[in-house]
Amino acid sequence: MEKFDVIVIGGGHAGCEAAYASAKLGCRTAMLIPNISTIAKMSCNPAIGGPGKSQIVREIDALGGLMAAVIDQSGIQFRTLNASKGPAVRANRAQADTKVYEYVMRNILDKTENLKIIEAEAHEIEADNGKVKGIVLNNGNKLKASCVIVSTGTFLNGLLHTGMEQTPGGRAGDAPSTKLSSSLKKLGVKLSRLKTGTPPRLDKNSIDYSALKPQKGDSPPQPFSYFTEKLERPEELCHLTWTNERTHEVIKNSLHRSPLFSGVIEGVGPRYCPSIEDKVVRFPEKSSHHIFLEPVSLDSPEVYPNGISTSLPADVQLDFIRTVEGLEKAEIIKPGYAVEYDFAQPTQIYPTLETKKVGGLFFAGQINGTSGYEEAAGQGLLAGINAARKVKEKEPLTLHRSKSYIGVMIDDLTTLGTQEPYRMFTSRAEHRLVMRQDNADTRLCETGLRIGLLPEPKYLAYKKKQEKINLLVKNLNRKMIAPNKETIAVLREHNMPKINDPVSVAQYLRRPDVTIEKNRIFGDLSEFSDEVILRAEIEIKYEGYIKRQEKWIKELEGIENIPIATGINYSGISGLSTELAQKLTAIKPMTFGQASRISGITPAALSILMVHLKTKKQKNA
Amino acid sequence: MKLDDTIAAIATPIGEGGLGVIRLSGQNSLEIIQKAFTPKSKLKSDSLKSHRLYFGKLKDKTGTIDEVCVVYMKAPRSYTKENSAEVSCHGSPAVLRRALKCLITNGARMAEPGEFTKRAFLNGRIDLSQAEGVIDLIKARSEGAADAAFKLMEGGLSSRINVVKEKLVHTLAQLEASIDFPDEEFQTETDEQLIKHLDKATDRMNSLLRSYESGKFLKHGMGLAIIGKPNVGKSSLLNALIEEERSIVTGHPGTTRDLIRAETELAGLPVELIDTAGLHCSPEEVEAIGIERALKAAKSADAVIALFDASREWDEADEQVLETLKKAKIPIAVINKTDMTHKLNWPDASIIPLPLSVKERVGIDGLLESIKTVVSDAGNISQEEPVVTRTRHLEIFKRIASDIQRAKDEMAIGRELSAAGVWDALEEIKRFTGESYTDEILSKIFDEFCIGK
Ligand SMILES: Cc1cc2nc3c(=O)[nH]c(=O)nc-3n(C[C@H](O)[C@H](O)[C@H](O)COP(=O)(O)OP(=O)(O)OC[C@H]3O[C@@H](n4cnc5c(N)ncnc54)[C@H](O)[C@@H]3O)c2cc1C
Ligand SMILES: Nc1nc2c(ncn2[C@@H]2O[C@H](COP(=O)(O)OP(=O)(O)OP(=O)(O)O)[C@@H](O)[C@H]2O)c(=O)[nH]1
Ligand SMILES: [Mg+2]
Repeated sequence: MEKFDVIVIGGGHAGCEAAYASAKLGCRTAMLIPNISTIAKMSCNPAIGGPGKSQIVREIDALGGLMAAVIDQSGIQFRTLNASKGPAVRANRAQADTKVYEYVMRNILDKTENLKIIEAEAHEIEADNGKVKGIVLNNGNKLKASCVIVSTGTFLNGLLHTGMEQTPGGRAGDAPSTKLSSSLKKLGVKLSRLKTGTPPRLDKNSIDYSALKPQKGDSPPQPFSYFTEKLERPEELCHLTWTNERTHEVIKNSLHRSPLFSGVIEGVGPRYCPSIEDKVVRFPEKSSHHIFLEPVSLDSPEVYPNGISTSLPADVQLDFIRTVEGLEKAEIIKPGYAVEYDFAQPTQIYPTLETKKVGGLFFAGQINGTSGYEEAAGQGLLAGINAARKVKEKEPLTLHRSKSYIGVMIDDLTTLGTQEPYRMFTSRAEHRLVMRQDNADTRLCETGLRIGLLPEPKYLAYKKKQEKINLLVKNLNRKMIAPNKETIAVLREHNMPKINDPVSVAQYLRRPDVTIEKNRIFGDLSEFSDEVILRAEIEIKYEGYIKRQEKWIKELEGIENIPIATGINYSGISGLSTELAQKLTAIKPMTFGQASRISGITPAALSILMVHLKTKKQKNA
Repeated sequence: MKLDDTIAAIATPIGEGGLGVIRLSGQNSLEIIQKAFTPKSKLKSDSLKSHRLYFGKLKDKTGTIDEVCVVYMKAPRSYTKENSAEVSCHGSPAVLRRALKCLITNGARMAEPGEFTKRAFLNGRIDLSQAEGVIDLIKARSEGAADAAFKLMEGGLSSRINVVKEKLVHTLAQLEASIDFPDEEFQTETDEQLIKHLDKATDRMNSLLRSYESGKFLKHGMGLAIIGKPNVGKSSLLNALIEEERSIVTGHPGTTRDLIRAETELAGLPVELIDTAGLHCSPEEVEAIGIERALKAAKSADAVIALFDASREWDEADEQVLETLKKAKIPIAVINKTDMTHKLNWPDASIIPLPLSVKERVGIDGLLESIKTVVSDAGNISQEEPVVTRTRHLEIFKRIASDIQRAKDEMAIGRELSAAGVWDALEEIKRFTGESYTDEILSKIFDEFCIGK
């Protein structure tokens, strides 16, 4: 029987990061995938990033994970979203050549030492005495490991719906995992159902682009990874078109054939990602909805029509698509569908992603009720790190919600659970002014180095840049300008606002109508890169707000990080209602802060808990 | 404190009364009450039904304590959300004490002060501000204070704050929708429209903040100084208002030398009345000290009543009194002795004095009425409006107001900053009521906008 330290079940976005991290941290690691040619496959839209998500990608990069570097090597269009709404909510988004993305990821994994990719399906997880022992494969072979990470996405008991037709499947073209689902249940994991959907893929050659509005990316494009020097791939265009009243007519007339509206689908779908039939019904006043036509890969004729996810029957899909401008003669390569799948309510795991039921068993990705590649990858990375740390008998790593979006996501999931597929939004992060995508390196590179995942040269590059930023901030704070003839002339020449009194350049820069420009006012900037200049500017301009939030975080920290033993007997605490005691027992919060975010917990209950923790500490002391 | 035992207490004030009520709350309420209570007519089932009134006898080992009415309230339909019972006895202290003792013998524990309310709060039946209202209600010193406390308990302030919260949640949903869904086709409201919503929230906050002044009066009472030149009838007025001969009244000017304080309730407000030495221009030493104190009292009082004498001509001393009055937070001018021949020439058309005759008891009701209106005007409160009485609330509300201001100011710089201001304000509201709103904002976004890929 082959022995590993860590086994990762699944080679999706969570699985790839998990396997890479675990192997890099020195654990003998196996990654299982039933079909090796589907590693890092993008099941849905061919894009990475967006608000909240791009921050996660940058955090993965700062910790030493893969996603940012891989999209930089495979991206065919890069855009900055929210440019005018402020630096904290600015977000990168890239169109991926999905085939190249898969290829690049596979290549990295193939070259990763300690990592063995095995083409097989996991059927069973073996545990003994509440501890993982290993797994059983579809061919009956057994593999041993003390840690197992399950990252099986939408595959557990997956059921695909197109119209009234149902086919078991993990996603189009892949079989579902049913044995594994039963095995998890046997281990005492509670599974529930969720649902998500995807649009049909259209044939590029059947689309009439002449009438459609092309969409370009930024120039120059901004990479995701802090360590990417240059983006190499030529840009591809997306196109914009619209549904119309005729489209909606066709859809409305076929609702009786929709599994969603006839009640066939039981799983809860994401509200932020409704199907086109959902939109037509829920927003009857809208006579059209936009559709972005996104290329899937240069090597493929497939086009992803973003905006019309559907589970209507294939013939209806074709009918309504052909009412759309530019798509009159469109051919469908693969029809759209909805998938229903099992997920494990994430209150069953600790913020380390280890399950509460079985030691050494970790869950990451869509199995935890999330949706999205970035969300999956962020969890995969943390699960990989923590499985490896468990093998090496090191303290687990948890990321705090005041430090990272990954931390926000995992805290939300493990504390509140989720009733619908969970997607990251910037509005979920109460500290978002300090958790920007520009400063993920400042927030996390130190951690990446400490745990051993971020290579030293990358860390040093970060350090060097950080010093430059600090230097520039210092310079701008020191340099004074006075309203003398010379300065006034320079300001006028560059069309910049006047000053009446002597001020530091930093103070001047804080005015809303001033931005850094490369002119004499701001001193010699030649030794600073554009990124350094931008980040120094953000730091100065937003200093007040950032300080405010930092102060707030500091104030919270004292209470926030008070540890709570997981073995605590809540029903024995006098004053706690039975209901809350049960909740606390189920969630097993690891810190006082986490306890305070449990739904339904009252300030009074918290003070009782606090008193209990304090008296216990005194007794122990 | 434990939640798993059953507590009991006498719920009505100690003293002779028609009725006295004992309250029980906790898991074993029913069991305990059934051990001591024998209903008059035989029960159809084994136990008392919930929310029914039963008549019968309460007994201990030595015999019948009293004929009583008992009502059992099954959880969660009770004040504490626990199993509860109430026993109405005759109001004698001896009977009540014996009844309570009997229930304690049967397994209940004496409740700590405020424990019923604490349980209602712990069990989530009322929010923090409502619990505070209950405490205020119990401690209310006057009718007006009781009224304000009752409104707080009913969630009056919570409902006011909810209106503000709705505005903020709406604004934040707009801001967040445009931030988190930048690629979507919907239009969120313009910055100007959003600022308008925030302006409305500001108005609400301001009126709550203003109500604190009168809220403070309601709870802590207001200080009311009576000033005037010697012999205008200040001491007579004080005595008339408190219906008691507290301050010495003589026909000699300069009778009152020091401050005389008297507590009373006027128009539903707890009031401290302060009689002062008469102000005039050439005092001797003792008088001078008295006048100094009078001026100080006028300065720190919440309201000042200045008396003028109808039977004498306007003079320099009156002038001084009027000047002092004008500096008061709430000024009330009164002309006394209107029963005598009128010689006074009122010099200031901008102030309309009230006519009064303490001697004939004419105009006292009018004076009371105007004290009341003047107070509620100052706090800008109508009879229906809840008022802020606690400093905890005041502090929170001040912060909310300034957060909203920030949100407005920063709209132009970037929506993320404006959102941060609204967010902070909502965080403060959460502190006030203890609820969560993140999900609410996302729900709002999904309800209002058509979103999705
Ligand atoms: C139809 C559909 C629509 C979607 N729509 C959206 C959307 O609109 N927006 C969005 O953000 N996200 C969407 N997604 C979700 C997105 O694809 C996932 O969130 C993301 O890929 C999850 O990553 P993961 O690593 O958890 O799982 P996946 O990427 O699904 O990877 C699962 C991996 O596990 C492997 N596996 C499964 N069972 C076993 C087993 N027993 N043994 C070994 N290996 C196994 C699979 O082969 C696969 O490699 C959609 C997914 C689907 C299928
Ligand atoms: N006719 C008439 N006499 C009044 C009235 N009110 C008070 N007096 C008389 O006025 C005299 C002075 O009354 P006080 O109440 O002692 O007056 P005061 O303002 O307190 O005087 P000092 O303490 O000396 O400043 C007494 O003789 C009262 O009886 C009134 O309304 N009409
Ligand atoms: Mg007097």
